[in-house]
Amino acid sequence: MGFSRIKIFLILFLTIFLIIGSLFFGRYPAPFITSLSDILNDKLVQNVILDIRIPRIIAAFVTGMVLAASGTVFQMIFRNPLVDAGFLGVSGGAAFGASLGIVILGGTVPAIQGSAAFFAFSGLGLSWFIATRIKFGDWVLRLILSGIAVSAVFASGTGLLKYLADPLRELPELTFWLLGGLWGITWVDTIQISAVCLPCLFIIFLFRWRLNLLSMQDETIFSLVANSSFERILLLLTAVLATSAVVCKTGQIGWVGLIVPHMARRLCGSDAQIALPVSLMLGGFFLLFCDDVSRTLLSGEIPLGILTSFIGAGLFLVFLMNRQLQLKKG
Amino acid sequence: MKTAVAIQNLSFAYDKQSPPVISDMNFSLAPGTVTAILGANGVGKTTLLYILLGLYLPNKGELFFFKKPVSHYKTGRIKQLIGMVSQNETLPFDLSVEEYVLLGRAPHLGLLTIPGKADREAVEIALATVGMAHMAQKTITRLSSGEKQLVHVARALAQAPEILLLDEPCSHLDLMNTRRMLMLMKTIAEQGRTVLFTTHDPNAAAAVAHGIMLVKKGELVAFGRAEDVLTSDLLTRTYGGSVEVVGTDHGPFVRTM
Repeated sequence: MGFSRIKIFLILFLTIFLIIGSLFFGRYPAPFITSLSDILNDKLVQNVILDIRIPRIIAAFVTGMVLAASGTVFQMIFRNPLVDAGFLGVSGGAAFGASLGIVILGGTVPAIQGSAAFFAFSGLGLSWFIATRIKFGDWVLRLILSGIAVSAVFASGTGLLKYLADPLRELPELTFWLLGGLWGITWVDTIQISAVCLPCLFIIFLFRWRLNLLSMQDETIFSLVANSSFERILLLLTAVLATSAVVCKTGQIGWVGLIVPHMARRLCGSDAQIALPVSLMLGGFFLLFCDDVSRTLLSGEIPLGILTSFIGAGLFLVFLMNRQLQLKKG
Repeated sequence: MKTAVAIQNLSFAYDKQSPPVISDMNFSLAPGTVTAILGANGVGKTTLLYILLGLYLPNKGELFFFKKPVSHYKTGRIKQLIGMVSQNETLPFDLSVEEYVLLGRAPHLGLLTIPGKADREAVEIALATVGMAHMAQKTITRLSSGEKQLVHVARALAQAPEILLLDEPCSHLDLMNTRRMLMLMKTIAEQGRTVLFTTHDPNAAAAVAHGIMLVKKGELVAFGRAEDVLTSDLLTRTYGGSVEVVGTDHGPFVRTM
């Protein structure tokens, strides 16, 4: 317990350090580091920090927290350390919905967001439904198979929309979506994301101990919990709502929801009472770090989704090869 | 006479087309007793436990806890009243023994309450009862099957149930761990709780159970004390193959020929 607490404080310290540091990272007025004297003396630098960097830092951190929290929720409720929103058709559905919003439904903000949320929920529902219909394999395998299939169907739909999209007007917006990123995030976006996501995160946080219960096998849950369907559905809806709220602003950002909860469990144990808050911090940290790199490293932005997938999938491979990924036995 | 559990004319089928898994069953169990359910594979032993737990609803008949019909109790109260350890319980994430047993406190906590000091004390007591207090900080997935089974029982004990249902608690256990589990059931009953367990070993049943039920195709063949129930005739009828019972100083001993 004591050792765990030290780790948590260390993560918290590093996170705060990164958040403050992120104010100084950027490419204006000079690449990489903005000096304190520039900030104090240059009015334009102050505006860049206040109107561009701060909302973006907040949005990145909230996005990371949401992806990690929903990853934790999906993994525990589906009793499967190998799932996240990307594997369950949620991200694929949201991307398809947003593309549909851009190309067919007129491209207004409510159309894009509403359509993204609708198809995110549909993606999860379909994956679940198909998993219950597959006649072979255990639950882990069935859910992953059906999630991959559902994601692929959505991906082909998204591909079709891309083909149909106006190459000058709609295609750039779509492409942004599929790569994922936080450029162009304004205070308004940040406030909209936070208004949906912070209450969702709070609900998930309140249920952190219950998540342990909900990861038991069905009969055990039944013997301990009066209304487990209510708790499961509430948590899943909350996780999908928060995910679609960020995804419809940021586009697809993969692997965060899979790898961060796993890292949290490795660092501080599997008890979600601790693993969930640690996941939140690590998720925020990971995404903010990737976003700092994406906006600072090159003169043009590196799409965030590419970075998170590269680092996330790389870590995943390392965990797999070290046999540190725990899979359910039996 | 006091009764903890009673069922009357209970029948259950998974759906209307299939034959009943439990048909027209009647029995009652006194508080502070251990009862064993014996019977071949697939005769409805586990189903019976799940009906008592409330996971399956009977098609016909009534279920009573402490002489009150089950409908008298709120769902939350039932969860406090009845604990269950299923066969081959699985855990996808490796909690510590202490964190895992703590989950048993759920029925006594509000929806968003985080377990507190009293709950941790209940966990300590439960772990001490099963003799696993020294393992509290160990990771549960690293335990042996015998230790895991004791920890599952500790989780059910942390729930402080009046009625404890154990589905084949001794399967996969070696000789000494089986003995440990049987003695544990006796201890739990001495605390005033009612223990009902399924087993494939008549001798294990005879060693601790106050009462033994013989079940065949969802019907109760016999229910009574080991000396009365474990007879060659009744066991042969229950299992459908010839079974020999030898009288010993410690009671009946069952073997197949």
